[in-house]
Amino acid sequence: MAEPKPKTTIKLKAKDTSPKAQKSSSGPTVRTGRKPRAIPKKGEPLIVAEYLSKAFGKDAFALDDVSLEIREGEFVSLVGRSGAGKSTLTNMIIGEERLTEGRLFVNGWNVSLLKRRHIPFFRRQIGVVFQDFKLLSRKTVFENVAFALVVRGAPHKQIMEDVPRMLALVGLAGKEERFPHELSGGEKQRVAIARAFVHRPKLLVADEPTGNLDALYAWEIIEVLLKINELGTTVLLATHDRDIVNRLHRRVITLDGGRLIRDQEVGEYVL
Amino acid sequence: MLTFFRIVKFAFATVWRNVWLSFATTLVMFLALFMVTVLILLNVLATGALEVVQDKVDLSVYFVSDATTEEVNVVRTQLQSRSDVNTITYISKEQALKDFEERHSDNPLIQSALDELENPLQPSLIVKANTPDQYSAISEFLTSEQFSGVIEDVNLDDNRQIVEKLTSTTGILSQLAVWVSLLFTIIAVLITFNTIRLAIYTQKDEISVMKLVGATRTLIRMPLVLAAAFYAVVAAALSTALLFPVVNYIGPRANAFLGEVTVDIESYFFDNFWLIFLAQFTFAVVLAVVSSSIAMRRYLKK
Repeated sequence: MAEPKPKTTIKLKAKDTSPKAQKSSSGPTVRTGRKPRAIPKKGEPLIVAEYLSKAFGKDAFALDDVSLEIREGEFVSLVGRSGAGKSTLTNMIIGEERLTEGRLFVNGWNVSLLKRRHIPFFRRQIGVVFQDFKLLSRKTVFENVAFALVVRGAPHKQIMEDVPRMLALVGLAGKEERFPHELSGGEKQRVAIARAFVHRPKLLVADEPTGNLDALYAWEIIEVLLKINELGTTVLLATHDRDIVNRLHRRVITLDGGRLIRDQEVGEYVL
Repeated sequence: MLTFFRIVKFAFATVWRNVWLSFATTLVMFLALFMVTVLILLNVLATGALEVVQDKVDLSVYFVSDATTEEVNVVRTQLQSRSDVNTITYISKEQALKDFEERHSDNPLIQSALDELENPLQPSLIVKANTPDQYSAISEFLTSEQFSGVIEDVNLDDNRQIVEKLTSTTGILSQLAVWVSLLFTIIAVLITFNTIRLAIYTQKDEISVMKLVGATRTLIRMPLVLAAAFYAVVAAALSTALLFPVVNYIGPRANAFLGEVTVDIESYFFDNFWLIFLAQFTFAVVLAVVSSSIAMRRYLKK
């Protein structure tokens, strides 16, 4: 299937912080169409959320009126207690969950208007890491990582070059032929990260990637994510691990009860 | 082309890496196919037997001893004009005697009696109707007033009543066999569908992960559909292969059981071998492809 092509481009005005102006604003430079435009300059908005809400029933909100902007190259921790809305937000960003109100732009895609048939193409431009790894249990380590390239129609030669390089980057060289059940939790998460990063996405979303790991393995995973961020990829890390967030000294967005309560440039876990 | 090769590769990996599931699915499909095919073959056997039995019924028309050939021919022509008459065979007095002598060649008493007598036998016509239930009408026609001076006796085969009973019973049995075959086909379809659905169900987590990574529906669906088609091909091949010994075993025994009535099930099987294989193959593949597509739809939609 051919990759979808862009349809329209919406140019945004300079940002006005007043709620009224924000309501009428049309967001960053985005396309409601399919293929992202030429790579934006470093520092351009990569994720723009405007008044995002996700309602369950009449008065129950998983996410309530959340607006934020994440720029290229940032490493952002999204923190909050269980049920704060972290996973809802990350699921919206990867196009897994529909929003009830507001608008969401990710890497040039208007996720709020994303059609089902375009989701695969959208997903190919981001990388996702989950707490439960979500590896393909019947594929080897090599095949798991290669699958992210296969879905993009990458040629065999590229797969044979990129996959070993990526496995070396995450410290899994020599374990290519193992199956997920033959790996430790930390190794599984490294495979998941390698798969999420092998196609060099501009955005990597990690939803509680250390949730199933002990402290030592957890920090190793964070170090891999930091390495990926150094290579230019924006990392959005959803976590409730206070120690990790405090050690990172990076931007921290705090959610509580579905609302954004704090956004610190160099923040700490404060709840 | 690259995607096609990858789909085929993934399909074989699915079969190989789920070897027990593949084995169980193929086995169930094979049993379902084999059961339905054997039932259909038994149906053919029963229908063939019925045809042979029906073919044994005839109506004999005995003419008076001094009936001339012209008189016999008049009756014959009138019979030929009837739509319910299939064949008419004329047996002259001389032919009848010859046949009688041959039949009793080992009986010296009859032989010596025949030597002393003038030919006591009459010319006759052996009439075969299209279906057994038409004999009564033909018999009534021949016993009518217009032939009373020429025809001495109209004799329906002694077996007629038995055959009529058998015909009606076999008719019911044939209908029953069709319904049973249909029922078993439905059962086979449901079993196969559920087996494949179960096989796909075990892959539901993999399907959701593939979606998260950005795989298109085609890349997710096609390997699993191809794997299901592969199970179907193997099941059809196994079923056809097992039919060889089964037909070899059943054929002669069925013929021995039916006595004079012989239905060549082996010839039927070998004459229609490719048709039987292709029918099984098509049935199984279509069923597998449709089942797997339906089973996957819910996981692809989520």
